[in-house]
Amino acid sequence: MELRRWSVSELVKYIRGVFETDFRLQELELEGEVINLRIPASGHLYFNLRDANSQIACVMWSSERGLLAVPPTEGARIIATGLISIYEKTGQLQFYCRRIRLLGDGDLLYEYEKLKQQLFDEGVFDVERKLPIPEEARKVAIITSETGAALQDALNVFERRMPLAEIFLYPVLVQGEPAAEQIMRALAVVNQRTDIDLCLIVRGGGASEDLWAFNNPDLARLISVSRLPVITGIGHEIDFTLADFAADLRAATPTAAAELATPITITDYRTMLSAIASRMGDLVERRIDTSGYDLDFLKERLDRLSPEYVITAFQEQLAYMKIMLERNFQLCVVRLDSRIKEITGIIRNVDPHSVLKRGYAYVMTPDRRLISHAAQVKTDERLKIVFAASEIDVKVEGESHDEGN
Amino acid sequence: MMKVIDEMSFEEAMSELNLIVEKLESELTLGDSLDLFDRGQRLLDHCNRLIDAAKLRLTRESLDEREDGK
Repeated sequence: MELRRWSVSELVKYIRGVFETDFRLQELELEGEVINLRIPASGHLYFNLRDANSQIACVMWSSERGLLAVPPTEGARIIATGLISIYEKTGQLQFYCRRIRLLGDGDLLYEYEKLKQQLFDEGVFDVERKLPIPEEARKVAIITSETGAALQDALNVFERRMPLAEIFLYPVLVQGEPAAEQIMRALAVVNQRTDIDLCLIVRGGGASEDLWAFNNPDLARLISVSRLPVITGIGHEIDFTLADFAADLRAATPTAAAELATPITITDYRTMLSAIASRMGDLVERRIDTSGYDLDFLKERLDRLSPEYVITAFQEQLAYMKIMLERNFQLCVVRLDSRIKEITGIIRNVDPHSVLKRGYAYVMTPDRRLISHAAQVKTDERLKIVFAASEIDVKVEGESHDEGN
Repeated sequence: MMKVIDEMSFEEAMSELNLIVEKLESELTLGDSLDLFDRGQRLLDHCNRLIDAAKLRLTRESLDEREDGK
């Protein structure tokens, strides 16, 4: 009989299908002791669960871990909820954990989850309690170890992003028995200062036990009621301490905390300053442009008031009057002239000489009295006849023939 | 009375600058505009100088000394 020949991936896929169609393997609780615990940078948890005779590989995705702050410790006894499947790449059987519950007191994770629930119930983590982070915090208190890399990381960020800031370092122990107490005292002192804008509590990465000081419930409570906004940057991305939950803002690392403390950098300021410069320039330029009209108008008004303008105006008026005067004068002369001619004509018409020129003559006595009636003269009386340019003496011979004739 | 620019902090200079821009956006006489512009220019210079010269200051506080003082 011919055997069916499989490819590896076909077989692995088939086995995976077998597991995944068995409902008993798709939702189960598994009890055991955690050994060989690994947490790579991805944040996923890898460990084995074992009992007296067997062990099985387990994985818990970082997305499933959620707010599970402190991972289970080596040797912890837990109950994991999840499903069985095959990791196709290696063909390995794995238990995929969705939830982890610790068995027994004294375990850090158990303790942690208990405290977290308690503080949550107290309202220590309430979103409404969270203070806004100032955008331009100038005076920043940093509570951390004086010798740790965390401080240097944070200072480097401030130096690069916001060298206008002033840092007040409150050196404390960040692990061991007195750490929580010292951090709380520092935070209390910082809160008494009126000149500080923002407080950072930072610590570099370490084992979960090393971060335990930051799971102190009293520290979490103090952070939640802090008058000053608090940013925490404790451990690595995967570490969530109770202090982180209580903080107004939780940063993944000390470096990230310093970055969140400086949302506005000096580069932003340079940009703002040059924007202000050009905006001011634009506004003033526009103002000058619009006042160009005003200036012209004002200049015209001013010119009208100046003596020069007044004089010019008078001169113009004078010139006009002169022209008018000359014109009128000429008109008068013309009129007078014609009048004179008219009168001359009239006078000429009444001049007796002009009548004489037309051939008339008149008669006078020798003593030059004008004779206008025949009755005025007697026979033999001597008279003168006057012509236009000459006269003659004559003697009356006849008698007068009167009107009755 | 206006503050002497050289004595102003970066924040003070910055907030006055924003005020100046706001004023310049309103109706002003040409003379006032030019005065504000002149002051704005000097504030800008001051701010840029402060940024260029900025150096992070670090003060180490001692918790113990504070307690001794009480």
